[in-house]
Amino acid sequence: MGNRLILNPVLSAGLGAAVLVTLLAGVQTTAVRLPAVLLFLLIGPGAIIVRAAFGRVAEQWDLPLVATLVFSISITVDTVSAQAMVFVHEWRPITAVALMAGVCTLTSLPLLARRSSRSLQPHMARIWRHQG
Amino acid sequence: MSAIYIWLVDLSRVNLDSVSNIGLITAVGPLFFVALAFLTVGFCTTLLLTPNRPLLVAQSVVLVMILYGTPALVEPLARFSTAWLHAGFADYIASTGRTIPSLDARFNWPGFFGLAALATRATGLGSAVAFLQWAPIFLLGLYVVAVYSIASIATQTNEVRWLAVWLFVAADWVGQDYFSPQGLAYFLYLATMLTVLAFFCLGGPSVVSIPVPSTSRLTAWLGRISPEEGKGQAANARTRALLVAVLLAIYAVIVLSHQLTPLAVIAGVGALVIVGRCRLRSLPIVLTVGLASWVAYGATAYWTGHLSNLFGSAGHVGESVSENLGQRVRGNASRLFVLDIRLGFTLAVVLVASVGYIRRLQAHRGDLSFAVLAVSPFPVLIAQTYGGEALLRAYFFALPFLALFAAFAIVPAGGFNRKSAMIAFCALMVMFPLFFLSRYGNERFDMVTREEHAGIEWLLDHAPPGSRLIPLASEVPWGYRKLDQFDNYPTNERQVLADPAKAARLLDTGPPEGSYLLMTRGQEAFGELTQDLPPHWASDMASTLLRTGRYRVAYRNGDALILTRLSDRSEG
Repeated sequence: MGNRLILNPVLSAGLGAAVLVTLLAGVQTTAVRLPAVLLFLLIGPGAIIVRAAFGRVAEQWDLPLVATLVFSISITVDTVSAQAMVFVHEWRPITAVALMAGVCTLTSLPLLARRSSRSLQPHMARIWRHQG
Repeated sequence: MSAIYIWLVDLSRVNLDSVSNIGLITAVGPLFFVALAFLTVGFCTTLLLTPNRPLLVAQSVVLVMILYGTPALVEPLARFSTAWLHAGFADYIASTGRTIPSLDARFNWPGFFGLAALATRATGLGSAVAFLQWAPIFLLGLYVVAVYSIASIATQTNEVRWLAVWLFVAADWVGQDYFSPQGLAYFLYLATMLTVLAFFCLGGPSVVSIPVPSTSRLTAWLGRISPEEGKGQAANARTRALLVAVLLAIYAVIVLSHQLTPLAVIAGVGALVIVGRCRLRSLPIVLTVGLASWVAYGATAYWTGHLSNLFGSAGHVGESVSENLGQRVRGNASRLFVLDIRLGFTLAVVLVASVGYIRRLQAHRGDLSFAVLAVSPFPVLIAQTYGGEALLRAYFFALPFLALFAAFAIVPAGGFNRKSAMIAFCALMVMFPLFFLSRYGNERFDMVTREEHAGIEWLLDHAPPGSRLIPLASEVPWGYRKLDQFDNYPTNERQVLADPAKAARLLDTGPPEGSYLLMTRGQEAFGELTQDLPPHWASDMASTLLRTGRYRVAYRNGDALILTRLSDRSEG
């Protein structure tokens, strides 16, 4: 259950979207941006990658192991993205975070779609049976 | 709840003027340890009755808060001067998008600083200084998750896992978990070792495979394989291939961020391969190539002209040990006492861990993978003295595995019982004061007061760009802004500018823009403790310099004094 919570693509996509909205809406209040961005930086990319790459297998692993993987992958992705600031002049970090959030949200869309279609299947089957 | 209440009551009574030559322990008072005793009783009882995971998590969070959060709650500003400099590195990248590799060796490994810059600007904070005070809590939180995971691979006994976590938290006195590249790289080191132990220990085909001579005889000689050791986590070939990619990506960030941690990773994985416990037999070679590539191409600005720093100590074990022990163990009587405590505490942890390993051998559970990881960081001493810090760092890298064996020493094979609960309680209650003495024993100069900060702020605001800034010792919490605008006089970590004639010479020969001699409470304490200088030595030196009539007081408050030449005029 715990693993599913961390790996849940809906949660991850929601997290990514929340950060995107926060940034795109131009919220300048640090009190709002600080927790949203830090939470996203800490678990966002890692949760998406673990979910996308390891899928159901990861749900069988121990929760602390999955958490360590999620945190370390997130930090890795964040650090690699941040290096753009060092090598590309005038790189805006807000853009980097927004880009990461966007990529993660897009990555999770197929997972969302797959889950939605799975959850819709029994309902659709009933409709199809009813229709004919 | 009682532990939290007592702790908070104690914190409200803390008087920072009571911080003595042996550190913060004299300021917190006995109630602090009563709070820890209550918490430890609760922890041992929970383990004894029903190992309830949410309750154990809550107790561990409180433990981390008490041991690592206390300075953040009682001290006015973030402690430890190096952390302030690191914030300066991050802010420089955040504001310019560049590094200055020639300014400081650490800028040649910009991974962590770039990440901190990204976090600073993305969160809308003005400076990375905002992260300093709570960085240890954040990092400890990450370590604890990883250490619990490592212990979970070693044993299915819940009590041992939790006890290993508590022993780790109580024995991590080295203090590398501040806002620093090594603090974050350490978590990635743990994640790397965890992934190797969980997925690539024993049996099955290797994803990257180069044939090497069989090590089965050596393995048989070194120890038996415990059933848990080879258990690992379920993973098919595709998953393992992805995990190798993840491992290499994490390692790339380690290489990009810190000088020493990649060596610890290579030593750990190499040792596992040598004893036949790692399937990825060519991984150490790949890791070494990765490290060499960064040093050769990414860090050229550092090693050009500093080759002797990198390789000069290679193979000189005696010199390395002398630099790590002999040269670090000096100072006044109080300082020597704290250093003795640190050494004794470290040796005690190693000793108890050895007892645990012997117990496991007697129970026919070799745990060889974990044993080699407890030993593998120490040969790093052969390659590098790391400014006399390699021994501390080696202990730090070995600690999760030492804590695991120490937990095995306390919990008998038959399971956690009343006797082991009592032993665990006593062991932890002995460790807490030792931890506090060891970790916060330098608090007189690690602490940063508001007055010191005000003095440094004045200096950074008023000294014209290009001025020479002269500290008395390296313990100055500056560099967090205007990093590249001054001609800072370099001070060696173990040297103190205590000679008035030399200070006068440095002031006189400074650039025409100006010369400033900065004296702070922390620097005076540093000289007193580490160089056995008399109390008020810095104030006496200031009086001597002022008597010459060639210098004037540019700024003064209770904890900071700035002298400059009579001819210099400050901006502002």
